[in-house]
Amino acid sequence: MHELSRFTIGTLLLALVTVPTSATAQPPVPNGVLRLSAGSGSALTALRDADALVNQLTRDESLRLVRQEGDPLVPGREHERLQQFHDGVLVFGAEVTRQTSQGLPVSVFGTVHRGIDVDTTPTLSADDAARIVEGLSGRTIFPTAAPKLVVLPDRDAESVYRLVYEARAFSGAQLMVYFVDAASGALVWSYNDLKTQQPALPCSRCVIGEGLGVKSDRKKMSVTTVGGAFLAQDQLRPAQIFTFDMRGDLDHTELVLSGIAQLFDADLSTDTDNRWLDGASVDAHVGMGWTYDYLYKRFGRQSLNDQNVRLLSLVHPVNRADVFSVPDEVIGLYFLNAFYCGLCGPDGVGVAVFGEGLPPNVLVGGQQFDFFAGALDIVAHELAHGVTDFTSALLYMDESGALNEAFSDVIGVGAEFYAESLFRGGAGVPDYTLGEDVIEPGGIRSLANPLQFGDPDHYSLRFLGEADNGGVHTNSLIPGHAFFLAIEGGTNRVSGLRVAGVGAANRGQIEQVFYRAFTVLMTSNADFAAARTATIQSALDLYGANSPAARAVTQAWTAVGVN
Amino acid sequence: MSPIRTAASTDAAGQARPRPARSPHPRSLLFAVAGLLVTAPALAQLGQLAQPAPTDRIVVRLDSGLRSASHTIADTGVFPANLEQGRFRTDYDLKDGRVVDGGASFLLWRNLAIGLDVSNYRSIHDAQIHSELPHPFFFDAPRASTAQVAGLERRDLGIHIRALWMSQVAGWLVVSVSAGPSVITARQDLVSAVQHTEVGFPFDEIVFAGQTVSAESETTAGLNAGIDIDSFFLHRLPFLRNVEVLRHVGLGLLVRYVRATAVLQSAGEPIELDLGGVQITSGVRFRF
Ligand SMILES: [Zn+2]
Repeated sequence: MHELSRFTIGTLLLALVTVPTSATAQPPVPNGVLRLSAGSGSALTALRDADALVNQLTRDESLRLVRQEGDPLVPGREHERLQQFHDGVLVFGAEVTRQTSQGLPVSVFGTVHRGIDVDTTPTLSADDAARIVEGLSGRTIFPTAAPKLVVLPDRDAESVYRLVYEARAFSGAQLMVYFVDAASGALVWSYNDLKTQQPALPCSRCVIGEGLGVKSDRKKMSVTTVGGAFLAQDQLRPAQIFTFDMRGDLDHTELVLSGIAQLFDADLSTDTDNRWLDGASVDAHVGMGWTYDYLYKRFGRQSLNDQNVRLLSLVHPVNRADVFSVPDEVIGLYFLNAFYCGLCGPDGVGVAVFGEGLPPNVLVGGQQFDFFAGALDIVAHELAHGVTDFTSALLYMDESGALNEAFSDVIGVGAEFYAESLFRGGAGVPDYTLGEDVIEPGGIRSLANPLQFGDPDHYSLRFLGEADNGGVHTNSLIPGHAFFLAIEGGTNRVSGLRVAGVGAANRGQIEQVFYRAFTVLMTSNADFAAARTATIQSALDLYGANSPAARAVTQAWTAVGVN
Repeated sequence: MSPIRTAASTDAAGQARPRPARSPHPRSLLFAVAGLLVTAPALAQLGQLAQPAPTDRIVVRLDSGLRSASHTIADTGVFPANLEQGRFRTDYDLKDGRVVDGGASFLLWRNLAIGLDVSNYRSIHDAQIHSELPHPFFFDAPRASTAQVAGLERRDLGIHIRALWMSQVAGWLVVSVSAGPSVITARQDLVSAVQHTEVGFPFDEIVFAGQTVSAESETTAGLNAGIDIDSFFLHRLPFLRNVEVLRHVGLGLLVRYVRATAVLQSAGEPIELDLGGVQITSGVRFRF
């Protein structure tokens, strides 16, 4: 993981208190990266000074308000999300969240850069950059995602900034984000932003239909009837939900993801008698609906963007029979995976794709892989990436990427617990294991016992390599395990520290604590330490300083070695 | 919506008491005829022993009064909704009601007379509806609603054939005991369907929007038994002594018990309706 010089809020405070703070005075702020982390648990002066800094940067127009919203979980609270700009150009990964109550600051989190010295006049045009990225990716740039200018902090060198174009290209197995130097056209940095389930290779027309899921379990489907046929389009929920059957056509699937091909009613999963037998379509469609319900009922959230953006998934992106004749990367993505592609789809607002699994007689690592849509926790996990995209936008790399994955696991598990309480006679009891309904035996990850799948259950054991975007699917189990401990309690295997959980009956408290921290308090480049601070702040806001939830969250992070 | 109904009647305390459906007409009729045959000779024999027979052969009667009918009946219906069966249960609070009752008797031989009466009972009552509508997204997660319905009507039109044993207890007082078969047409307003309005997402609530009420009727046979007390004292009053016609006019009281069961046919299972009860009426008497 890259190291950036960090100034604690204490350093900042020191700098601030050494100068007069009259209305016209500008306190000297050190150049470089400032990580702001001040909340209810911080000294009052630290919070006040962080708030003053945000105000100052806002007056300077360095910080611009990009979102302001109320708090459905804590009445009276307001949340601002501010983005840093330099000479009108967005500074990548530089954001601040500020929580207020009746105009007074409650918490300030985020990262800002001081002393940026870079000319924001590009030599190349956006079209030039698009051509360069097309050359790099071999794919046409999304029509909805033209390259945009950003100031990119150097990932290794302190106080080094470049003016670059940021562009995304879906390359078939990857959603690559490219950063191209706006002067030279050189590739400065790139990463894969495809949020996969697991690392590569391992009104009037509304009707209720009856579906048999992947596990042959009966479910109700909210569908639409058109001309005597039934289509997997849910119009009963405030956000429309679409499930498209790609009928094994990988080329078409990729064109749809790239935004080049449109989707039509004829592409929707369909049934003639409203007794649906295609388990993948049934479970994808029902699972998205239940995930919507869970987000709404637990958190008051209305779909991924909180404004009822449509939910869209693709099933049967490939034919199972083709598994022996396609490249490994296709197997890894479209057979043995599920993923959420944030800017994908004809309208460029995200698509979930559920892998086809393998023929029943084909095992990988001793496990059978069924249609990935058959696991509600996987469906919810993928959609949660959309929530992250619309909120904290946690950078899909290193610790922020692991947090991105962890949040999806938290939502996946939460949705499973929610649905099982209503879905009797279903596929099984809820648990903290991901994907166990379709990857058998076992599943792919366990928040209760990460070691079961070789994942770290303590910060000291975190993966430090570069694979999997810095181990986003591995290190995610550290915060994921903290989430589990905060609910169920227990003793961490490595630290031996005991956590008094809030208990399963109060699981909603911890779910809300995490949800709130991840969606309104954390910024895109948050690390585990920031996640600890933000979730503790969230617990204090929601349940108070002496609450079991605040104690459980604090103990859980400490137990997994994140301080 | 095509509800199927199952029947349960309840006692006054409201406790459900399921009863099997049966067809009582032939058996009740047999009971009534047997009762008449058994009662008449017995009454005749009683008369031979003691009581003097009245001198007038015809008595015409016109009464009004009350019938005791307070009890609860319940029935349930089901209907298809969201791939499951929705249900509703209606508890009808039957009330005591007004009765208009009239008829005539004819003295056949000594104390034995035969009579024919017509009675009309009517009550207006309330009902409580408890309904469950299946959830559109989940099996076994119904949403509940309750509602009150007012103005439901119950009407029984009865024809009662009576064998009477009439005793001239005093010159102005005739006491009769009677029994015989009855034919009753029962008519009851029943909730045959319920309607709901969806509030919308997340579909956790429904609003009860209304009900369909249909009047179901059935004609059945039963038994009646009663006591008449007829007094003809008006012409004995000092200020009416010269009004000769008042010798034929009197006032009377009838206490009658009727036992009958009607089975109302509806879209589903039949509902057994208890028509029995005690009625007390009073009115004028004319004798000739
Ligand atoms: Zn994921």
